[in-house]
Amino acid sequence: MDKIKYKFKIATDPFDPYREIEKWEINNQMAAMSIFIGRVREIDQFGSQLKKLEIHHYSGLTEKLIEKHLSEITKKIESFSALVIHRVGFIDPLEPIVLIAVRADKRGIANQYCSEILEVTKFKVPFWKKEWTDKGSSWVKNNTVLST
Amino acid sequence: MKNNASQIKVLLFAELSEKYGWNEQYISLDLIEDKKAKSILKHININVAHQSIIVAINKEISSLEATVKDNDEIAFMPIFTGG
Repeated sequence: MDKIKYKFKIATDPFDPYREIEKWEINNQMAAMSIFIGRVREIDQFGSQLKKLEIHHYSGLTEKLIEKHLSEITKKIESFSALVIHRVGFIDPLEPIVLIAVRADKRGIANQYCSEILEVTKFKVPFWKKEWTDKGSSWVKNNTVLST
Repeated sequence: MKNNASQIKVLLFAELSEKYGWNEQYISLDLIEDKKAKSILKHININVAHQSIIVAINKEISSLEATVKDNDEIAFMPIFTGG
């Protein structure tokens, strides 16, 4: 049976990233795997305690852009497999927002594409975050830049 | 509601949708002389800096200089903040 090269899912309900990885790994075992799990921060962009994060997206375009990117990677890299899950809707602090798991036959490839796919979900795909606190709500204006 | 073939569907998302109070409307393309996305934006009275708008036409990322045709879907979106 051919291995599934990539899987992308919009999650409208909370998900357990470790369980998702376990299910996905059954048919996608390779020498190296990199994982990124992003969780909701407890503090909003102005330093207030966050009550909820709300995520909107453009259904149809979101899937198309991520799948196009993943498909382009598979054309370049033979030994590559990826699982990407992104939450939408209302999310509690510290709940997972995004899971990216990349399998490859080399650690460099797994690390590189795990990071690259994350940056794509942050800057190239139509998701928007709105933060809710006791004071009301505000849209996140800009994503954090990649830093060490 | 869509009622004839010479219309386009216009979508707003996130902060834009909230600020202007709607997320979807149909407009007559006959009202847009050059058929450009930037002229549609002006027609629907969205006053935001062009560099802070992302445009998609028929679910393809496009630009404010792009033109639309009958029955197209055009979306105006704020900067993406996912991940």
